Amino acid sequence: MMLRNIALGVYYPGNSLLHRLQARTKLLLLFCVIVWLILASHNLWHFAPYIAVVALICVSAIISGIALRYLARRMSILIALAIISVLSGLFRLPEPGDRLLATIGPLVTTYSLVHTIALTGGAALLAFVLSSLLPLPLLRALWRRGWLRGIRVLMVAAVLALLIFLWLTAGEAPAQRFTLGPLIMTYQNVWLQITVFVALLALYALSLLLTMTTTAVALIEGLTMLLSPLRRLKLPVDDFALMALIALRFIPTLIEEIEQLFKAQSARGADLMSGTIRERFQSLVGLFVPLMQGVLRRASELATALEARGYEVEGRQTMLHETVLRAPDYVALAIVVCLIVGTLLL
Amino acid sequence: MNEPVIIARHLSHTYQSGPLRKAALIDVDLEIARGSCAAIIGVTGSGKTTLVQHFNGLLRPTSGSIVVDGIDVGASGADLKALRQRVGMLFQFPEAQLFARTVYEDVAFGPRRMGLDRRAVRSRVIAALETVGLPKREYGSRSPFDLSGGQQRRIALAGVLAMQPSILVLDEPTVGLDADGREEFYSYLWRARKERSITIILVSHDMTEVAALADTLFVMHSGRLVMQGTPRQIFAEGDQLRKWGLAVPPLSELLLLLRRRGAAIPATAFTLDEAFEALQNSGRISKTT
Repeated sequence: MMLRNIALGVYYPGNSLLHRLQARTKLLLLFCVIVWLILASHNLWHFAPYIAVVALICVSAIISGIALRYLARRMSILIALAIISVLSGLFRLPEPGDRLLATIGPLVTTYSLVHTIALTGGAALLAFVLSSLLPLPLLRALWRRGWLRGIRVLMVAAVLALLIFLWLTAGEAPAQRFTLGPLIMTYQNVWLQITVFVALLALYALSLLLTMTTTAVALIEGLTMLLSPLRRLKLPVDDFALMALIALRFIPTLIEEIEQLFKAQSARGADLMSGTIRERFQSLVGLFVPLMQGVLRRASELATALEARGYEVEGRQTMLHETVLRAPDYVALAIVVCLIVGTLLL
Repeated sequence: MNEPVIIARHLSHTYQSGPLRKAALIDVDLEIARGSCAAIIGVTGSGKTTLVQHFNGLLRPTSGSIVVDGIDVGASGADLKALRQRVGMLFQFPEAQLFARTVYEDVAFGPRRMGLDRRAVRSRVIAALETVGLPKREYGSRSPFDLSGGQQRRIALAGVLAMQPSILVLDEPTVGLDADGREEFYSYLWRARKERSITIILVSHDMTEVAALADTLFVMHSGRLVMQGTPRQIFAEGDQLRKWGLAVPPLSELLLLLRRRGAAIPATAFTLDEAFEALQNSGRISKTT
């Protein structure tokens, strides 16, 4: 029951157009988008590919029937991280030949002023973050807003950063001069940060869409088919596919087995959360010994079953359900290729 | 009817995994009398396992209430530890839960976790092993993994009995055993019931198996409790049961067929003798045969 809550398979069942596309088509499309974004980043201030990729994500999310809100929620942590990295990467020493966009500073002030600002700012932020824990109905209602919860992590990080700053500079004399900057933004660097930001989020969103609309097994099969030319190089593509498929197949089985054992043992009084260390260890043994036994038994049964059905290590493997690319696959590929070529040449 | 030991009112449970929700129990009302043997029957996925996992607090109700032996399982401060000592539970393939090096150690796990002293644990283990017909002096120091499947299952039963529960829930306890093993298991279970006067709740998809044992049957179908009563009442509704994917015991099936062909057997006839008597009374069979 508790393990069920882990989002292991992020697969989101459905029967949309995106679900019906073949796994290899989707993988190929993802690969195309990667190449696209890399090529696009070389063309300074050329926004067309990025607008197109965002539009592509929105359209495919709508087609797939996955709520954009749900997608955004899964991406919230990455968005926060990306914003932090962009902000910190925005200012950099210019390289020869770069055009300057803006310069801030150099700002000259004293340590006592900086410390005062850091202290009051930090205290205010901390108070604001802590207010989310207060049981006042008004505050509760305020904190229930999603975006506020999202930036709470950022605020905690800011408070920590201020603390570290104060700690590092605690020994300086209050009257000493503190020089901030000069902070320099160059056109090249700002463009680089924008491209990295969009590319990171776009690729994450697209991979999320891929895994949400494709079962893990289909994904592996698609990957195997795409990699199959590597057989020529004597790379063990089939072995890789079999291993990955079996591993994937076993995950839900093992989860079920652990859950069952967990229930059986806790019905006998096993409890990992309380008791002395010795008792907890015993409970853990009661969980792991039968689990390992079960795993080994399953593995050997599976090996027997594979052999009984004529699996050969040396032989060339084929799929049970051979699939061919159909019209939607070609159409999707054509659309994306047109988008890529069009926006790059525009 | 004795006072009820398990009372469920409007009990519902919904499983949630990620964006998906699945209602596994819908508005179940039931009472199980103390000291009785109840059987919960339904096809796979009908919610019977979900239902019994509420009996010892492994699952909490999503809505509605369930009170087991005076403990409200849904209450936030429910004493789950006490509840799990009072409600023993044996899952499908219980031999998979064995882990200790010796039979004695394995059976002693539960009582030890209850915080009993060494002597109390010892006497409980000995009594429990005796009940399941695997006396300690013969089996106590053997590894549970060297025993046969049926014996392993009885060890698991002993492990639960050693905690001296007042209610024992068995989820498909005889799956995978042959006919002899099944009979043996039930005979020991019956002995345990008589010796310790526990309430027994059987979960099964097989009517025939539980018909002879249970006083009360509860029929589950896609999350709802659709029928309850004595085996006699339930089996009279053969057609309805078949619609829910359940097989009636062969004898009830036969009587049903005979009735359709016009034999004067009342719908309440449950045993061979009763049917025979009814036929005699109607004059179809001469009294002398």
